[in-house]
Amino acid sequence: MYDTQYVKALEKVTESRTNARLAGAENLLRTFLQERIYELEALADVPEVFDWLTTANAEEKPNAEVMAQLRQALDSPHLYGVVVKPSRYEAPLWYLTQTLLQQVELDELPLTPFANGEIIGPALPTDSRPGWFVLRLSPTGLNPAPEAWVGLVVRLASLTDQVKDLSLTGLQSPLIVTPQNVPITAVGNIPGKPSYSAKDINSNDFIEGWHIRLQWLGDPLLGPLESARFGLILLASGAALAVILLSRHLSKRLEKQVTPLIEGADRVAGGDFDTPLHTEGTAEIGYLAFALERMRLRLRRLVKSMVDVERRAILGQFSAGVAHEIRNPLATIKTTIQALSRKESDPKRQKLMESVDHEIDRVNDVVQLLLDYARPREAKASKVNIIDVVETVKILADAVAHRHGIELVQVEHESVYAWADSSQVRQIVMNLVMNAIQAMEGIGGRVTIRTKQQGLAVYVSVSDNGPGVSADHLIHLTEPFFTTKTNGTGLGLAICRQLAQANQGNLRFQSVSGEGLKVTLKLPLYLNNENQGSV
Amino acid sequence: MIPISHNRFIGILFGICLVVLVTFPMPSKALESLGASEDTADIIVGCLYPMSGRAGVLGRDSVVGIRLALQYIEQQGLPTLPRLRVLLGDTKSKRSTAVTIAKRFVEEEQATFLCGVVNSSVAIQVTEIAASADAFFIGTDHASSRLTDEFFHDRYFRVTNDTRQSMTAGALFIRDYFDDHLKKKPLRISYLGPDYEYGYQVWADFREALNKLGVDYEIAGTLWPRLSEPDYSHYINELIRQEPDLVVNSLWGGDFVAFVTQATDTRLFDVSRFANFEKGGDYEIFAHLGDRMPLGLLLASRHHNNWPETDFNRWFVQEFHRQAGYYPSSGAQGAFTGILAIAKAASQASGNYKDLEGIERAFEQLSLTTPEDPPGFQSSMDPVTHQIRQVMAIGETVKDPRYPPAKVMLGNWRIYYPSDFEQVHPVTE
Repeated sequence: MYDTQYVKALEKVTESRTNARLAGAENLLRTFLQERIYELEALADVPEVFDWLTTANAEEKPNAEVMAQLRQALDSPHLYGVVVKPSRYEAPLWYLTQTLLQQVELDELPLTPFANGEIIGPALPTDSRPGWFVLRLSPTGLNPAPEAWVGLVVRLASLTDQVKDLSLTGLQSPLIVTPQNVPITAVGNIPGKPSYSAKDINSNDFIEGWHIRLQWLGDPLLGPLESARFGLILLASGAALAVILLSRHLSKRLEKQVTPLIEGADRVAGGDFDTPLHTEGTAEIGYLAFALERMRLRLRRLVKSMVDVERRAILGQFSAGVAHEIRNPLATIKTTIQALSRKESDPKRQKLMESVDHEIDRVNDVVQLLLDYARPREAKASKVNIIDVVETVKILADAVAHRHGIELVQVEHESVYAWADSSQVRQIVMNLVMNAIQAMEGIGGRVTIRTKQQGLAVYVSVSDNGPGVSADHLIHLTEPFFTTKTNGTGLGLAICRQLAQANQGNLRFQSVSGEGLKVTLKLPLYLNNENQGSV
Repeated sequence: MIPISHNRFIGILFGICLVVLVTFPMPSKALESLGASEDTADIIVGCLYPMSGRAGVLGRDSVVGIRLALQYIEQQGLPTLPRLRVLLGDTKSKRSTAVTIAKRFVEEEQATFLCGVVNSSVAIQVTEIAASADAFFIGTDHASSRLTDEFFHDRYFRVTNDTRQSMTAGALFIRDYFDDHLKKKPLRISYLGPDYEYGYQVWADFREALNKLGVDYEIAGTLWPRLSEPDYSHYINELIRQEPDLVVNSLWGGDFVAFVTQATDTRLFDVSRFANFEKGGDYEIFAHLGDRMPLGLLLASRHHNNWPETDFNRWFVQEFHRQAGYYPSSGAQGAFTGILAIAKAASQASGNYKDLEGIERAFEQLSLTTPEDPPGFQSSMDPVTHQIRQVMAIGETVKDPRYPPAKVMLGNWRIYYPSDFEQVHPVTE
């Protein structure tokens, strides 16, 4: 709307200025012609000229004085020549270069009254010569047709030259339209390709049949500008629409990325540390999601660690109480049973008493396990030959394995040394082997022990081809009191993990249900370096 | 009392002024003269040149040329050569002034020869006076071929090439120079010439030669600025709008200087080739524009300071420079040749300098060497048309600092002999 109003205002101002300039140009044209009329009147009023025009016989040439007067007129830069028609002459006498009379029929030229004279022509410009017109006066009057007259042959380009200031290069070209309806340019020629436009402006007739046309040339120049203006308006509208759409798109995208984060944060706040957060996101949202996910994992570890510590503290107190309250009576019972057993002659009862003694040992073992888990012994690291440890365990466990129809295999490997507490390492490996054997009790199978060094770690893996552990159970294996065995305590692997961690190592469990379990102990490599940190 | 309208009053006032001017055209002052004194002169020559305005340089250089010619004749030391008294008149490039002076020369000063005149329209007026007074009129710088055709009379002789010769050379040049273009398409030509007799004749002669040579061309437009036009910008814009392959221009003197000066700030010389086969190669344009003179313009003139490289031309150019302090424009050589021709024709007549018919016959058989003649060639008068036959040299503007203050002169010459012109316009007996 603003653009439309602006253009209208501009057109109004331009039209007003153009009209003023046209009026000025019309005045210039009339003045130019009026000046020629004055020159003509001066010539016609010279007595010798007047006499010759009115009294000369046919074919009587003008005398020297008349010729001098006529020649004087030729010095004007606006005149090509003079034409005279004494009353007794049949045809006018031209003092004009013949070239200018080529292709001209005087009788066919238009006649236009001006002031007290007449304009004959114009003789339009051709390829051979310029255009001109005759401005004539008659000492005896022009109406009816004059018998005697004198005329100036005026240069048409001098007339058209009066409108040259109307020219706006590339925008407007002034033309003078003659009575023959032929446009003439400011330099006096006929335009090669006359074109008409609705934007052309025509003046009023500055003399009858003659007017100015301001030919509009601006389309090639302003057309692209006009297109550019509409283009810019379209572009601005398009840009606004694009911004709205982009805002909506960004808003939706942000919502899509932020909403899962809010939900995840809510879950974490509600105590769900196990469900991963949605970490997909771009730029800052992506970084935020990643940071939140890290926060969730740290919180989970922290909470788990706190629960573990708390559990162990409770277990320690409980174990100490149990040890104090159970072991002493058990020792008394055991001593009593052993005494009674020695005096018992009945083999059946003696067998029963041995069974009681055996069960008392088992209760003691459980209590010892509880104490080991609650108050782990500090690891004392040293150079440990892992092969030796494995061989020792294999020798101790071979008999048990054989009893259950299980083959215990140690895969050969060159010596490899770990930096750990040798007794704790042995305890771990023994525990893992015994767990594997127990997993295949009654079904048989094979337990394989492998050792290897990779990087700065030593690995000992114990794998069986037993029933394996389901994925649900696998993550709980090292939790205390978790067991899949009917008579297990659920403390063996928890203690193994505790010992592994005490030796700067860890345990890793891999299993496919029905295809066996593989447990890998990772320990730091012995580096033959005195500065190797103590465990 | 009869009321007088305002317009009528101004008209009467204007008429009175005109009558006064016509009745007392110029003060009867002493004319400037060169050569022999009034008492000792064998022949009196009245020379008419513009000495002021844009064409003034041609007139002033012509006077130096006349002085050089008189000096040259004296140096010959031949007793048969007449003593010349040369009267000088300033035409101001106006027909009425020229007619008044010419009449005074022949009627009051007893001049048997008129010479000079730069403007062809003025020359037509002067030649009529010469014809009516049985005086010789030796054309030295105007070129319209109508002087040796429609306005021919027995005592008119022209000692420089006319428009027919120069434009025939131009047409021959175009046929050769634009050969590749013409094999593909017609040559679009725009013509811009001064709005008077000379400009029309150049264009007519040029088209006649092109037609006779069978050159395939189209007219893109014709423009006719008046003499001493102060502002060529609208004409230049119109030429650019017409998009011709070649602009042929026949402005001369200060008008040509003004045109080229204004056109150098436009695209004209970039979008079209530009030629002036008449007087475009005059030294004054090169001196005026210096290093702003565009290169590659196709120009010619009636005399060149750097061609031909003959002893005579070198002497003429250097002697002119020694006397005037600058190098000559072509008008100087025309005037030099005119005076030399008068002396030689008069000496070849019966010895009686009053024998005008004898001098006329001698003129018709005249051969003489001029500064613009190349080695092995001598200018000669055509006994039928009374038009001298000379060589036309057309060149291209190239850098040449030998004639300061000009930095550009013509080079890459193509030379056309009268025999070449006669192939286009066969001589009919």
